[in-house]
Amino acid sequence: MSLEEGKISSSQLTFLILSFCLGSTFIVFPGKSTGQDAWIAVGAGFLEGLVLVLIITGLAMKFPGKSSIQFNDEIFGQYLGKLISLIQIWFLLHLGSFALRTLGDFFITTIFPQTPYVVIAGLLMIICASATRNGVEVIARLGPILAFLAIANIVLTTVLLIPKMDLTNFLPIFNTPPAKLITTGHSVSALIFGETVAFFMIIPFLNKPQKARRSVVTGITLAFLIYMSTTFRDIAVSGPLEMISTHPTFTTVRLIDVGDIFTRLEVLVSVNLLTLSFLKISILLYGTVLGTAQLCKMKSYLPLVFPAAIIMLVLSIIDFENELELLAFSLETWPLYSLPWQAGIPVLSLFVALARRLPDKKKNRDKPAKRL
Amino acid sequence: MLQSILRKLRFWNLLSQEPEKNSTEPQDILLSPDLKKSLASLKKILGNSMDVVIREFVIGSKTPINAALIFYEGLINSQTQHESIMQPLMSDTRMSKIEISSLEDIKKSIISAGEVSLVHSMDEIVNKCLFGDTILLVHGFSSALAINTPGWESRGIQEPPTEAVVRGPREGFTETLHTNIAMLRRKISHPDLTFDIMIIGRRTHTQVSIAYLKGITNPRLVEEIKRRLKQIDTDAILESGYIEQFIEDAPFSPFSTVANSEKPDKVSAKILEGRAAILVDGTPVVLTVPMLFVESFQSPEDYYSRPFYASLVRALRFVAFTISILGPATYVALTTYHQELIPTPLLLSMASAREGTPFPALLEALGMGIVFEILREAGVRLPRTVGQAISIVGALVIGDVAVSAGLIGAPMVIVVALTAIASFVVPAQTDVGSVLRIFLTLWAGILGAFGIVIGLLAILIHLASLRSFGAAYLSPLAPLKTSDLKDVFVRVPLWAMFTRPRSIGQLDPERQKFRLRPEPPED
Repeated sequence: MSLEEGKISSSQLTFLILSFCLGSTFIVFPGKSTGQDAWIAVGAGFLEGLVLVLIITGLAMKFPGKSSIQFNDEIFGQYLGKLISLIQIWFLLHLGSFALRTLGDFFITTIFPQTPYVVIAGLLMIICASATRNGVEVIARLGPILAFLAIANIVLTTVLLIPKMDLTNFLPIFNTPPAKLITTGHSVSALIFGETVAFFMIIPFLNKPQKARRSVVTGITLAFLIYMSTTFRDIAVSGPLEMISTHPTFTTVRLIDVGDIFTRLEVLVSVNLLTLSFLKISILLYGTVLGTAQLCKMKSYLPLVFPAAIIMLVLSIIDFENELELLAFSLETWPLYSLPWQAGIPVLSLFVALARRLPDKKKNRDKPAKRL
Repeated sequence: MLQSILRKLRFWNLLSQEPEKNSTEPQDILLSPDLKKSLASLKKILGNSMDVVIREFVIGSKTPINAALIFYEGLINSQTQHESIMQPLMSDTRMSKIEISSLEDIKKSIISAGEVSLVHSMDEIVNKCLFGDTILLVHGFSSALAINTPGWESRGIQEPPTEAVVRGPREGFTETLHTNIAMLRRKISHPDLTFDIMIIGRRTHTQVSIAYLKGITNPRLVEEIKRRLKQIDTDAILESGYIEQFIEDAPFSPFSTVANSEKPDKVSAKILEGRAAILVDGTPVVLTVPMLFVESFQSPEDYYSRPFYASLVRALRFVAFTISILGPATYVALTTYHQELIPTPLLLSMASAREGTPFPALLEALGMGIVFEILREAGVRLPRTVGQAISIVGALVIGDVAVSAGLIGAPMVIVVALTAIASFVVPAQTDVGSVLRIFLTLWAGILGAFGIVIGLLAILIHLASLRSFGAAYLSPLAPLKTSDLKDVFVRVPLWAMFTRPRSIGQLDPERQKFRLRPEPPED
């Protein structure tokens, strides 16, 4: 008997990774401080993210069919493993509340200035909780549909923006000092690609575990390509405006004007962000409750869904005072704060697993998934 | 919550159930060789209903044997009965000298009807009688002959009014199960086409048949259907809708997970794709399972006409369905929250049209939506002669006068009319469409585009979690099955449809040979 009977296919995983990476990236633009060189920072961030993802999948593929909560005990022993699992669950919960707050604040500042935050975030949380209750299969099935809609949306807005593009906005290239590019690249990685550590909880359900690395890398590369193209678009259209606007993508799409008919399409972008964030928060909520259930050896994770959703919602309210604090946190604190989870624990786990020659194949064959 | 109420009801039911069984049902009594005794006990069971006929007569002249025929008047064809039973038994036995030593003799050499079977118990006799058989009881034998002589009045084969086509067969199923089975058999003339029969309904004894193709339909699907049908223990099955509600996967969902059709060609096509059909006696509506969401967007005509136009129509249906559920919601969201999305000249004309209307857009949309539903329902139920009055009232009073009186804005009428037309493009989802439309309009009134997306996500989650007899309801879209996309948004040419849909999970995926594309001859 296991907590989750569902299986997901490798293409579904690819689309989940893609949606997850693009989840809140269009709201907070990490490359902002580098101005017209942002695309270089995005490229650098992708390289860093690729390394992180390879570590993550390498670790996950060492223990096929097991989430990080399950193999932590194996790697670090019963007590230290539990502690690390607890810390990892906190990361998922916190990241979920962070993503929720990002989206909620975005909606409040741009579209519904007079609506209370709780209404927006609460509704989204209810939807995410109901998706989580339906299990990993349903979340995975929604992935391709929502990702496809998002891609169509991005392509549409990009095509409509072609007349507004001015390639001289890219000049001068390499104006930013290399150190700044690297730190910005790191924050791109921390905010977009590194968050895929949450997939420690999803990868075990892959129906073909040997394909994990391929689908994760494909997903992250697709996310990078899409993100890169929107970065190019934003710089080409907005130019210097990029540096000062709070939500560059939103501001850019606002400029669309085709024959006075298609104007102000920014609602499309916000719809897009909502669907992607929904997937991201659902995955994080799912990871949180599944991880907790695995940690406490519960029979089902369903009773945890709504409590965890409420905790995530409340956490998102008390996390920050206002959106500016949120932006400052995500651009300055998050890249450092998230390092232990995105790089520290996976690298440490991989080293310890290699040093202890885990997984011990002989033992696993005798007692599958029993050694805790 | 509904489920918890149901659980409580079940509990009460258990409490109130009496331990002793109701003993009005006929018990399994065996026939006695004495004709008089048998007739007496049969009369007891059949009662003194006026349509029961017990005809006593004598076979042969030298050694006359008493015999009796029992049948229900109106369920049998009296001409067949006379020619193939009465005449041979009463006059032919007198002319020729046939020794009657067993019922087998009568069955083999006297009775000329097609289907004759031996029955031994009262139960069987009564059941056979009720399905239009004539029972022959002969003195001295402890069994009887059931002779199939069905003949009752029924409607002829007509074109079903709900599924009219421009190109394609016009015939539709009738109310008689045997006719329907014959129509399917004529479409698929292959011995693998199997009809399994079941009798459901404690009082109605309705015949229900499961049709499937051996070697194509997954046997587990057939088993699952039989398992669910066997669980039905109810008084009456009057229409296939009864069956549908007892066997569907998601009884609390607005979406139907069992498809239905009145057209033999459509049902045959579904059986050939690996589905199973459930035919119910007494109704022309045949159920097919499993049902996929995209099935609602497919029409038999798509396959009869050439692929280009068919694909265009297919795509149009998706657009129409989107309009039908999102039309009023989008209008409400645009006029209430996102005016900036509307081009300025249009915004100005809309504003002037809505000037002076007293109600907010949400109320207008809901009100007009309800008015439209009332008009539709009235149009369906009314006799055709009164129908014109309805259309005049609908078009003139509600459309025109309400606008010129300043009660509602003219754009709202356009939106509602467009939605109404669009909702009929996908007949299988019209009912669901109305529910979703109201649901999404409310969300749009509360939170604009955000609300619409929240509502749509809720619907999507629900759809993605639905299953119909083991197949994912939203497949082949979610889970994505790329090879099945050939028949979703576009309809590829028939020669390119190599495989049967994988979403249903049939045994034999190959539909046809690989190289079937027509090519000009090589000179």
